[in-house]
Amino acid sequence: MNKSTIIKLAVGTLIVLALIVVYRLGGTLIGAKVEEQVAKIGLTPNQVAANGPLPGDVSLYAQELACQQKIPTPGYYSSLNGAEIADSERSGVFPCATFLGSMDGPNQVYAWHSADDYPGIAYINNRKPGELYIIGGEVPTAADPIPAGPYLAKADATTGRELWRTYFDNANASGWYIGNTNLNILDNGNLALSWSNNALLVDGDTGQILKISALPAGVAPPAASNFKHLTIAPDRTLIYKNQTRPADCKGQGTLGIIKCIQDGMKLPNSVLVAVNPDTLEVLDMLQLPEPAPSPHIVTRLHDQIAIYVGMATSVRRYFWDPAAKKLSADESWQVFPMQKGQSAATAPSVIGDWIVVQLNGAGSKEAASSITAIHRDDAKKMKVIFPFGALKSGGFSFAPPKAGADPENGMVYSADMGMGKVAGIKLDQASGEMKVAFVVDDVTSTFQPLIGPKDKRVLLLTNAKLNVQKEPLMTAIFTNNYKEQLTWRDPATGRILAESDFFEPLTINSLTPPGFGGRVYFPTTTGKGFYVLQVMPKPAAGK
Amino acid sequence: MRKFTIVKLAVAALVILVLVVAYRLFGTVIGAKVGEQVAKVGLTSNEVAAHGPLPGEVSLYAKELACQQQIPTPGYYSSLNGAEIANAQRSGVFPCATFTGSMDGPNHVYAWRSQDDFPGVSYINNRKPGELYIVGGEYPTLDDPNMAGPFVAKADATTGKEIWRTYLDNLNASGHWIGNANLNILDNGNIVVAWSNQIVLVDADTGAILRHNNLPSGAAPTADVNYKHLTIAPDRTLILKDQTRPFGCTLQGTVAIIKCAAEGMKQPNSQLVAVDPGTLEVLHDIELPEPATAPHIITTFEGRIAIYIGMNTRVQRAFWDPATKKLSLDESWIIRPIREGQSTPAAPTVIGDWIAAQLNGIGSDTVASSVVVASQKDPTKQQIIFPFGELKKGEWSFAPPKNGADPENSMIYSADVGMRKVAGIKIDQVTGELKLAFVVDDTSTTFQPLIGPKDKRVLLLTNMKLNVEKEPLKIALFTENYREQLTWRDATTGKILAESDFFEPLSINGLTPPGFGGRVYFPTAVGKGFYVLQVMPKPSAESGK
Repeated sequence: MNKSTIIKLAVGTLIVLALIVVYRLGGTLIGAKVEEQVAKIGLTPNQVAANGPLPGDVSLYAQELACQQKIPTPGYYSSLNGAEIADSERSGVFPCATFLGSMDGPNQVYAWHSADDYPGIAYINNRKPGELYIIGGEVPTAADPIPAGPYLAKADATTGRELWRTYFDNANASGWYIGNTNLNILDNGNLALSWSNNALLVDGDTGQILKISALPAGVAPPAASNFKHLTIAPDRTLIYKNQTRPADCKGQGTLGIIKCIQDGMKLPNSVLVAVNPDTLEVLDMLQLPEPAPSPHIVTRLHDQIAIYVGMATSVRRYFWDPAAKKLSADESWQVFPMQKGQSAATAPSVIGDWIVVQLNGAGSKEAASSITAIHRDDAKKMKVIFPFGALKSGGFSFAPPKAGADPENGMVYSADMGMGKVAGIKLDQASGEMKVAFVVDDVTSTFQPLIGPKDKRVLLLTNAKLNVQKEPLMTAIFTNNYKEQLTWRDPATGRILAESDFFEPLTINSLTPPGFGGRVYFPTTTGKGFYVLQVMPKPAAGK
Repeated sequence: MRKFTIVKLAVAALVILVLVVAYRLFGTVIGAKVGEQVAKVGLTSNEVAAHGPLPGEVSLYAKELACQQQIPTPGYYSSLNGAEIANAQRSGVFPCATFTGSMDGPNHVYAWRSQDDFPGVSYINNRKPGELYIVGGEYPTLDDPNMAGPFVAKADATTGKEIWRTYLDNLNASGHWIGNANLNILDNGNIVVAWSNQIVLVDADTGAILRHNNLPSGAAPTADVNYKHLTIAPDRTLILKDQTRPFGCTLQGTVAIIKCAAEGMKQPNSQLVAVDPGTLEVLHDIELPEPATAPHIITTFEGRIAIYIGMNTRVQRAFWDPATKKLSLDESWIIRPIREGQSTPAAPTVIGDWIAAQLNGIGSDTVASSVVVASQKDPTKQQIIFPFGELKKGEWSFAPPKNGADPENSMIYSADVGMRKVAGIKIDQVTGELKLAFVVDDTSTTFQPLIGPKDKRVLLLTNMKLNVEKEPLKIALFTENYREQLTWRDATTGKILAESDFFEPLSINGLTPPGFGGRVYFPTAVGKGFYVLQVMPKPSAESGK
């Protein structure tokens, strides 16, 4: 063996020895650091920043609940969102929810994905702080076009860990048309739900089905009816309405209806049904003159219980008489706000004496979306605004979410996903006159919830970003080929206060409801669960 | 084709046939056996021996609970450890817990790792048999230095499967300093937890937060307080005290205090607070004359509710008056036992009329640890012992756990992780004189709980083994470069009765609390969960087991 070989061997041995020493001394350190990095793979920066579940500011829980309990929501559990979208008017205003970020400085968003999967997740509601209810299994995705469901689940509000899950159906076995459903917590803590032609009561503590009863579909074939809409009247009566599917339409999910409508298929007419909230006995049924694919709202008109329904070509008012237990149409209040080429009105919104409706709920290739405000005491008093101007040739207008409204600040919000914009509109509550306050570029299919007290309100808007910028929007939406974020905005100007990372798409036309302690939930069917989001002032450098 | 080739082909076909037949006959057995071996990969021999969850001796559950319910622990849920460390004195004595091994023959340890992960697990308490509560998420580890938490969780006491988990904070979003927290079950079954400057009541059945309040930070900036210490007075009032983080220190975890203090940063003074256990209303609070990093204990002295507090340079008594709802410092009972070069006392310990304090709670590079006892009636009556002699040059003394004590057997225990020894010390309860009973080589940062009745007391000591024997202990400790076992010892002599395998490190300064049915829990933050351990007499060879 020559000298050079001996030296090489000695050096080699030394290196091996050094490596062994390094491993023995730093083994746990290296392993731990590798593990730390591995744990971050696939996470967005918001998730990496959170590094775990987000309880929010727990010191706010009791304060927010107490604040909410001062706001009457008869029939609903008194909590941040015992009702599907805030209250029976589906107002989307959550004055007791908190924005923890800075209104005038930089903010940081933190995110946590639910510990468990919730396929086809649609709505999320809060009961007591810590208690989250989830309805899912009824939004088809490309990966799961006929999900088993619907189901109701209870989850930990911080970790998203499932506590129980109760399935009600499975379209693969039952063959039923499963459309988007609903989620409302009754004042006694149980949940009233419906799907297809069934109404049911579920124990909010255990998930046990307490009662189930059949709902009448009216002129629609039962197989083409889905009682998606449930709103509770001030006397606690459940007011149901069905979405109907064209007779020849085989598509599943509510998106199935939209696709069939866009293919020119005709919908059967809808019905309104009044149901006892304790026995689920059907108290009355009223056949509507048109299909009504979007939700109705319930509010008071002087001393009467009024139900406003947006339909394919009209917006109409109905009454529920709790004494006579009868539903009736108000022939004196019906408007036909659609201009040529426009499609269905979405759920109406109440802003003082005005009923506001968003048009093009099912989309239009001919006319831009508009907002119509109608006086509740005189249907002839009507104001219209096209916040985004006229539709350009080749353009597409699609505005499925109802108009957001902030009566205390005289603001209406309009989102047109097809046109890629959201507008804030100032409404003069005396004259009904509407003026555009701002228009921002924002692509969203969902509601525009408002959180916080009147003078510190924050507007929540999701915003979609196509994976392929040049892909037609509707193709991207139907194939889930995009990502979506949540933005927190100044509701007077639309200015962004905070914006999250882009996650899997939000469930179409769903809500990003607030949670206790300054949190917001972001349900995503494609992502099979939900994100818990929290905004905080951006820490100074060096944190 | 030649005859020879034909024969070869026939033999080959026969072999294949035999293999196919063997597979068809034994395929499931082979698969199952392979599965069985695969399931054992990565398990220690104690886990392999247990081969599943350990319920312990279920016939003991009711007996142990009944035994415990005869021992008054006012304010605390009456169970094996409704209190964080046995009771308001943090005695660490669990007379109703059982040692199911042999006291004079060979034993075998069985182990099961919790089915679910509990990152940063720190304390484990028992409510009813079967019900385990865990506090975690507040113990930084190398792979998760800023973990979400603290959280409280309820788990199955045998499988370690999570039943619920309630997160209380996430420092990454809130920016709060999260130090080690606490875990105590109230007499009504609910749980009270304090962290940072906040306190909550948690429904122990559901995990729901029932109440919340903010606690006063006194002289310290709010961002630098951690109400780690919560002890319940006999009238049910919650007595809390904060650990304070040195001014300018931005590190996380309780270890921030040790690291920043070592760099010469100054801690603000601590605050002592009395809180209503039902409403969480702050009844009274006083500023302490010094920072007090270690827990306080509560006992009664001449009919009064006495609070003994170890501070940076002294041990002082305070009183809680349930009639006037006032806290007060007792200026007549102060001892200053710290020798030059020594550091803060750990939580005091009661042994008859004497208060014992372990010194070098946050370490010393110059002076060995000592144990001092002072009379409750006359603080000038003091006795001191240096159980491990003097500190040699280059050595490190670090004794974070409080002294274990066994008043019934007049024993005090002292553990110095830096000096790698544990001592059993006999105390003359008349004179306070201290004499060494034994010293064993044992490296442990944690308490020295005692289980079993007076005449069959067993001492539980963890014991660390460095991955690199020659690595300085301090570095190994802070880089988690070691493994740790639990030993069951004769409390009189220190003789090992049983010893477990070496697992991931125990949560530093955590407790290995007893469970029902002869079990012990071993929480490990690095291991993201806990081990359920049980000792049984070693099966004889003839039994074939």
